[in-house]
Amino acid sequence: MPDVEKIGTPKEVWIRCPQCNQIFYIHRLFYEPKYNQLKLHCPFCHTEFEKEKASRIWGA
Amino acid sequence: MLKNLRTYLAELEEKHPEAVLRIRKPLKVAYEITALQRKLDSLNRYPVIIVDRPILDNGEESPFPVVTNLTASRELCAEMLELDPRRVAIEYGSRAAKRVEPVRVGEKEAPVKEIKERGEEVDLLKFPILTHNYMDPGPYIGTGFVTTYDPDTGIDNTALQRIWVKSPRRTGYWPAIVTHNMRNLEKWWGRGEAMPVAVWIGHHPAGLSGAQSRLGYPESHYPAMGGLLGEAVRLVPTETFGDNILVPADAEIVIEGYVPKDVFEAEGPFGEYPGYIGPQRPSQVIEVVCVTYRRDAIYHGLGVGLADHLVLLGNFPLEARIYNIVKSVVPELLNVFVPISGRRNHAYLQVKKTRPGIGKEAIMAALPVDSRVKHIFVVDEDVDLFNEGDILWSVAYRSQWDKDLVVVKGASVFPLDPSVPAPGDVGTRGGIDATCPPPIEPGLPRYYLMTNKSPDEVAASINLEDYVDKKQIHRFPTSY
Repeated sequence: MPDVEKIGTPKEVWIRCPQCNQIFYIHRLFYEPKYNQLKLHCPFCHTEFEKEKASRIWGA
Repeated sequence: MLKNLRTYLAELEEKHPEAVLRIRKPLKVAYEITALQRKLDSLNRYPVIIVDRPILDNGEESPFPVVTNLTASRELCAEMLELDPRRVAIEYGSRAAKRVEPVRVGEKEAPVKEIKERGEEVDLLKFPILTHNYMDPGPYIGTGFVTTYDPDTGIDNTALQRIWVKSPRRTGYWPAIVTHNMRNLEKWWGRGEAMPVAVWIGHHPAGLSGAQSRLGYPESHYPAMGGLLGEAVRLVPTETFGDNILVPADAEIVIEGYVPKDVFEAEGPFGEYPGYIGPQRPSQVIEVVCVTYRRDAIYHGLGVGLADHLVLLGNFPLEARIYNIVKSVVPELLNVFVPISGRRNHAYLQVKKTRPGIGKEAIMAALPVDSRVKHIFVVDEDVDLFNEGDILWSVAYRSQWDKDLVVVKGASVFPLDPSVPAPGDVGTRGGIDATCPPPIEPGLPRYYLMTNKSPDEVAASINLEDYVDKKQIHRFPTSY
């Protein structure tokens, strides 16, 4: 995964909501096997979706 | 005298009416109350704010008023605890060390039992719970004191932990991994059981400070709460858990529920005390089964990420802990100040420099006290510890980066620091020794240049009032 100047590997992954297209960020923990199946929750339109359904992901 | 949130508000309105801002116009719980609070914060003004007509997300006016900014003003918080605001580090510890055992009262003497709702009757969304920051997914209880108990010993633990109200009877709940409530949770889940939990909201701020005490495990917070209140906390059994979980009888609202085993859902993002929005994360949930409250409950909302979140509930106890621990190894320590500006990551230490090395010793002693304290600044006794301009002036002219820095890599840090790289549990912490060298010999002035000043007799003879109309002063231009 890419490094970011100063902070190295970022802890956060940026997500674009497939419903409202607004972006928010999630902790990398969502990629751990224990939490991998959990749905994300768009804080703006409250859609719940699997991260694979995000219209765009940065930093994964 | 029985102390609770409303006795404190009444006392405040009587003694300091100028410190209370009562909003009689409607204000939405979604963002508007916090926006007002933030604007006052930016002006360095911290009145206690009472919103008489909060508007809920469904557009209805709540019958319950909101009070916020209760724990923001250093002066008011210090006065409430009978402390000198410039000596909190020195005086708070002895107050916080006192223990007063709680007393158990019956239901009839417990105002928090006036209304009881169970099952489908429960609707948390009828309370004016605030949505604070723009990326928050919904209303968060920021002043929920979560009480759980150790299933092995029965001893309770209380901690201020954030709670996202997702629906009338379901909340998100994030007990950080280092907390004692998380330790209890692991024990309950280890037994294959959901963890019982009670969340109480609203009490006298002195009591809230005690409920935030850093204690051993397992140790109840109620005696510490009583120590800071100056009287025994009155406790009453919860409806769902009986004597297993006792809650303050004089609280405003109590929420009872379970944290079901192995259930995780997305929680956040949420703007937190560092002033940054923490990411959405997988977290536990609370399934709410009961709520009890006063008939005329006052909802205590927290200014999340603002001074309200920092001063009494974080900075005061942190100053005292740093002072007590560092003083035991560096007796030349004079005082400690944790400023709002550093949002718990900065601590300023003042020392009397009588020998070389004191500054760095103080830094090395202070760093392990709390993983949130990332940067320590050590200054001399002639520096005004509470003037951040003076602190920076000391750094500017009393330090050299190659000689006066202490840098510790791989130290434990708090995960809410956005500058800490993945995985987020270790980072770099340190301090700067911005003190002058000690005197070459005892009795001599310190080895340093003297700061600019007027001769003492001239400074004493020039009175500003003889030359300037006091009313004019605030109209003169400022600078920065």
